[in-house]
Amino acid sequence: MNPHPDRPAPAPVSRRSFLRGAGVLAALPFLESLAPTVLRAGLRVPVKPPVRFGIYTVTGGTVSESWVPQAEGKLGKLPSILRSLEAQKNELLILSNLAQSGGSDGKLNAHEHCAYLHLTAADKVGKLDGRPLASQSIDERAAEIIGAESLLPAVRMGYSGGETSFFFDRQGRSLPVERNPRTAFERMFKGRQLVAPNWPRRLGASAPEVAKSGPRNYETQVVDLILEDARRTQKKLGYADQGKLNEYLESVYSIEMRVRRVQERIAIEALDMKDPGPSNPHLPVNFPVTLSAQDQMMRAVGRNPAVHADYLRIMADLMVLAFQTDTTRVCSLGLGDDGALFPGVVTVGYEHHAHTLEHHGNSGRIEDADPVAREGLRQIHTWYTQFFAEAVAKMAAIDEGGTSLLDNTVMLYTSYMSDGGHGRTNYPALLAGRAGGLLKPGRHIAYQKDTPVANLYVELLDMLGDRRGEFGNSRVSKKAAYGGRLPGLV
Amino acid sequence: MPDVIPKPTPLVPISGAVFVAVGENGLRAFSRDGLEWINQQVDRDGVLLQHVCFGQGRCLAIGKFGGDSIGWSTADGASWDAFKLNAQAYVGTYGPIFSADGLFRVIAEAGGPAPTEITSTEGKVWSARKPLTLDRKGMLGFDPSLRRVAQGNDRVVIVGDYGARLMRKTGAALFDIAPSAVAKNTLIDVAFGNGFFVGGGMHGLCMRSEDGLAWTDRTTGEEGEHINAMVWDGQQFVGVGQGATYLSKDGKAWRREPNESAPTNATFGNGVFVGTLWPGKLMRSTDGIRWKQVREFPFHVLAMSYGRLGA
Repeated sequence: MNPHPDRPAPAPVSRRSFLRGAGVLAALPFLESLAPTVLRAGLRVPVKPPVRFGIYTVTGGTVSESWVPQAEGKLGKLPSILRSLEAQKNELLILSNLAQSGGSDGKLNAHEHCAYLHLTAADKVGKLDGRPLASQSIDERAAEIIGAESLLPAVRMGYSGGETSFFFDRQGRSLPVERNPRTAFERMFKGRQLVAPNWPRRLGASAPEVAKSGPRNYETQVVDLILEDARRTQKKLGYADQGKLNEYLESVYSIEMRVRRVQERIAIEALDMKDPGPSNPHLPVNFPVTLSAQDQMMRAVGRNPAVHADYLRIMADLMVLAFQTDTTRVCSLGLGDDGALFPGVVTVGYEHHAHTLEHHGNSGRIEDADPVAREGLRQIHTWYTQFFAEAVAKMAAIDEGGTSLLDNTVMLYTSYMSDGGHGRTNYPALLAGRAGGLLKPGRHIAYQKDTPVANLYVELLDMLGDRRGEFGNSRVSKKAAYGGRLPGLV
Repeated sequence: MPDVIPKPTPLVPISGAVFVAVGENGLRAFSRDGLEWINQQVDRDGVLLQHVCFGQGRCLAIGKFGGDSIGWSTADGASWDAFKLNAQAYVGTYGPIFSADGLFRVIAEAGGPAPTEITSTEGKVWSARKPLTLDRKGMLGFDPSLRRVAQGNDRVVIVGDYGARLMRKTGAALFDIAPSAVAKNTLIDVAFGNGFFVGGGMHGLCMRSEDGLAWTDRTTGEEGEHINAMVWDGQQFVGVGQGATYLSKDGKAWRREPNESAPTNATFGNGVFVGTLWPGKLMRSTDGIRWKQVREFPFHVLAMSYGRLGA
């Protein structure tokens, strides 16, 4: 009822307007019934922006008694390392007792062993001709499944201290990681007008069809010429050379695919520019615009926690922007630095070097660890988590048309060692977000002791559409459990 | 915080009792009263000065630059002699440093349970490494970094990680190790006064010892109130903790006073307490309880000391 009949009835307030007007930073939880719909094949179906997969992994071992809640089930007051996530508690799923059981070929130091297993959950890792060798990492597998839908199949950033490899391709070869935020920004966004996708329009229309029907541009014409020339040459070659040429043609074909993808994306984003999604692109702050600022940042990041903090924020902001603009749907951040100094972050004792604190703060029995070092290590991981919490809050505040970016994402927050003694049991593992409604967060699930981390990766990939039901050593681990799966996530 | 950060003053030779602060980017500065700081000098980006002490009328600072272990010493607070410690093979870390028996002494750790010591008269030429102790089994933990030093009762006492305590009498060659070291009794800092060595640690932990080997009178404070600095101000022990300062005349009976803006590193001299907070904040107090920022250096202070320059 209109309480003021002499005035016109107020216009209905859209959810978007309400959230903007109220200055709400945390979007509502994912409620499918509230989601907008599009007409498809004569039926109204809910708009579901794509599910994104993010990894936010920090270096070094953590302090498990300050990371893992004591009680299972609904999350109560979070342990001190996770306390900065308190406001997002209902979007978190904390998983404990996960372990890596993969062995080493004996050519790795303890850090390499942990790092190569970290995201591969391989049954064995090692080195070949001095180079890292593992199995495919989860980010790369995820990119194979959902990467083709976005501009870049996967983005990997971080390694500020030149850390050892976490990421591997299908052949088990180490994948490059972009350390420099400026270069990462240019690779993803240079020359583009940043726009938040209008998912209802995108999902209701067939924009790629529009792009495909357009004229072939210069790049694709060049590719056509290369292919035509190669095909003529192919007829004249012997068997071995034909094989080589086929490999070459495959790479040319992949270039063509990429060019087409860019073309399609340009067309889609042109339409988005006319009618953008509800949120403004989330741009990083304190960005090192000039080359010298960038160099200064990279030099100081391991020594100066204030610069380190800027780096962590910028990298997370780039991830949020990449997800928001659908630049990629798979983004991994390898953050932190074992070799970094943390004065001001560590406010106890005289040691500020992370690696020393990791070692001295750990022992076979917690009571034998140096308590000052362990407290310093706890402070470092509390500090890391604060930046993850900021990223999660930003994602929760990005409206994608009825649901938030966090609703449509699953973020894995973890560390490449479980403790500073190169531990590989009871890894810190936390999922943030709802993966488009596929997760039931707000809980802590304690699995049986030493459940393979690989099982978690199987579940994450399953959420992204992988139906293999197997990853890493999920089935062959000597600690295999739960049939290689992780029950109870949904 | 002052409205205007003072500009570095011209370098002048100084002598007598002074505070010194050293830190990142080779930061060095001196002060008589903790308020006015002079002879501020810096060096290349990446130079870290992590330890400092006085002895033989000189000031010695050591640290790292890249893969090198470096040091500087000065007799007048203005001109510094630079040197490298790299000639000592297999050493991972250097420090803490102190002066005793007319020599500068640097603890040199090579990893493992047996730290060593190198010595120098002026901080330029250094001896070969000598073991601190032959009692390897007495140390707790594989790599027990030693952290802080106090002297009194005709002996030197060093405390370190995993509850380690070492004691050497004047003129002796080797340290004795306190038996039954327990990690939960790790002391962050130690001071000597009133005939006792007194240490402070996590959650307001305080312990005392007359001989540096037998430690008694263990008391704890409130959770999180880690005592980062223990100093003797001539009348009482002052344990500067995070959130509270603990005070005692004998190291046995303690009084807790909530503090304000407590530094993470503190020393005492000329009637005042001087400490530092990251990044580069110089804090000063007359009672160890109420601290006020008096200066902000362009780089962080990693170590401080109070001592005498010149004859």
